[in-house]
Amino acid sequence: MDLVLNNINVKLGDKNIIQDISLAVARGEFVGIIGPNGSGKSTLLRTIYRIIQPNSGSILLDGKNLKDVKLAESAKKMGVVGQFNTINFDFSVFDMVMMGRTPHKSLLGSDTPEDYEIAMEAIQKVGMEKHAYRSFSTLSGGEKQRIILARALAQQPQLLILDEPTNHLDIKYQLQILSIVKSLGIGVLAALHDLSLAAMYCHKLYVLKEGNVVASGVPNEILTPELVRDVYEIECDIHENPDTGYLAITYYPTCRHA
Amino acid sequence: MTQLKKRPSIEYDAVIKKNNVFILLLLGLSIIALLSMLMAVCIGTVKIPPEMSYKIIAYKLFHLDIDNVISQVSPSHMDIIWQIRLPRVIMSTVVGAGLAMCGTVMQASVQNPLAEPYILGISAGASLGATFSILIGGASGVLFGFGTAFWAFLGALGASIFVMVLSGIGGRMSTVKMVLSGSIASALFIAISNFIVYISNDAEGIRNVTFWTMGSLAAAKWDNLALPVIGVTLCCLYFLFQSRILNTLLLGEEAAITLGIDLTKIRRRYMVITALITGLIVASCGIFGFVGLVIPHVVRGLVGSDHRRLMPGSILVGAIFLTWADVLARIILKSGELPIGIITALVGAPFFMYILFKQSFDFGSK
Repeated sequence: MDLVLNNINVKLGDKNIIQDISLAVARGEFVGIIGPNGSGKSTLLRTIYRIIQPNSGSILLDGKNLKDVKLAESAKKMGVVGQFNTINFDFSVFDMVMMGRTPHKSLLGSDTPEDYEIAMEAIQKVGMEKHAYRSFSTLSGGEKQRIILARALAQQPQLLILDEPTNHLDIKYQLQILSIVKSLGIGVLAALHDLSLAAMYCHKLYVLKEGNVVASGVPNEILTPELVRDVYEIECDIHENPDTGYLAITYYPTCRHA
Repeated sequence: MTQLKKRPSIEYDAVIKKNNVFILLLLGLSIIALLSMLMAVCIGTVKIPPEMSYKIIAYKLFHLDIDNVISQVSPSHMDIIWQIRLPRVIMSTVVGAGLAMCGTVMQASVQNPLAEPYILGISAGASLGATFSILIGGASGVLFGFGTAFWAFLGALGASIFVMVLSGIGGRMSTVKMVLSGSIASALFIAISNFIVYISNDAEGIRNVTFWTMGSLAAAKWDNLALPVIGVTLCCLYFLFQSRILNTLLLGEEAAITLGIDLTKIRRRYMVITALITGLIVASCGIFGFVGLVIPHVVRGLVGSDHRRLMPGSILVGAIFLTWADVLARIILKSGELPIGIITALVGAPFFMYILFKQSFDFGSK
């Protein structure tokens, strides 16, 4: 499973949100998208998971143009954890995860023991098996996020799209979610806020600024103080920790009148 | 890994057990629905002994002349049971099922627990269509007897589109915008109906129109029963098989799309079907509110949000509820009968209030 974007342009109203973006996620690759608020990360992801139609350019999933693929077909291959997961109706955690099986079922097909097994395994993968019978609305924000991830896993996708999956999570669960996702060995495209986490988990990063890709490549090579200054308008030091190999980023206060 | 394999099967057994309980519940509800219909036939201002009623029905249906029933029964009793009460009971059952179904579907497709034909002004649109056809004469001509129902359908569809567009302006459809759009639609369509009534100067027509606005099942006859019965039955069957999609719709627009549901297409299709049912119902018994609101809520409280349970449950409970509401409408006044809209509103309005308060509280916390 791979995902290729060729020269994608997205306009919302009169405004160009995404300009001529091309990117690729190879089989099993963990790819991150970073960039400040409003740089077009979510719009780009929503275009890929088919909420928004691109104005031009093509998106290829497994070599096929998404335009020609039915929603039900692409949903078998692509799981999504979006940002907005509040619902007005309540379901049990287990039922919620079972919905991930929807693209694999015909309208009349009933749920088989295999479906239950897949759903339960997904719940176990995110460590929520103790809460399988609780109602979704009683969960905390972080727990909800994990259940939505479990639902996407129950789709048995070969590609996961994550839109800031670690929002609202404390650091333990941020690490946990990203580790779970990475351990699956499937293709991942994730918009991420935290630069050090992005550098730690991603094989490849795309850096977005005002709807353009301004840099892309291996995190340790492209993440430099110059890039961060250019994109985020802040000063920082970036060092590779000699023991772990991970990037350590130290930010400086920005207040000029201090 | 063995432990991984073991747990799910326990889960599956639990689900099977839960399903069995639910099947029993459905069976029970079906029996209650049937008994309600049988009992409702025997209740009315004219006292006819139950066994006599059933003998008449048996005779009419199967030409079974039990205990020489025909010689004992007065023709007027025969007519009351066969020509008046039975069609009316069937109509109330079907209309109740249809409205509850419409409410359930609308609530899922706009992800909002307040959606219902009456509150969203769809019924008012249908009533405008019906009024137009009766007083301006769309009822005659090429469409034969289907004229009124057809115009009611057009009105309902127009109202649905109107409300969807209005509440979708400026981004997300919020509860507040939807309920406001519904009241705008209601006010507008009722005003136009009233205007048509006012200028038409047609006494017979006006009487008919008054009847739409309060709702009554009194006009149920064998002749006008076929269309609602067939329509509601087909749509109920259709939606019973749409549970998976309806469930997914509850998760919100983005989630539904990422789970492979073609939301725009599905929503448009559901909107046309619910408008069709609302039109058929309004054309045959006028507008009365809240059935589509109350019933799905009560049933959701009993069996949860899963449409595989909710849909059949709502259909049956809706049928039972309206059968008894109509019995009440027939017998509560000594002097005559009460429009059923009054009864459903007396039950439904406080319920609406309750949900609104509960909802606004929920929305505040999000």
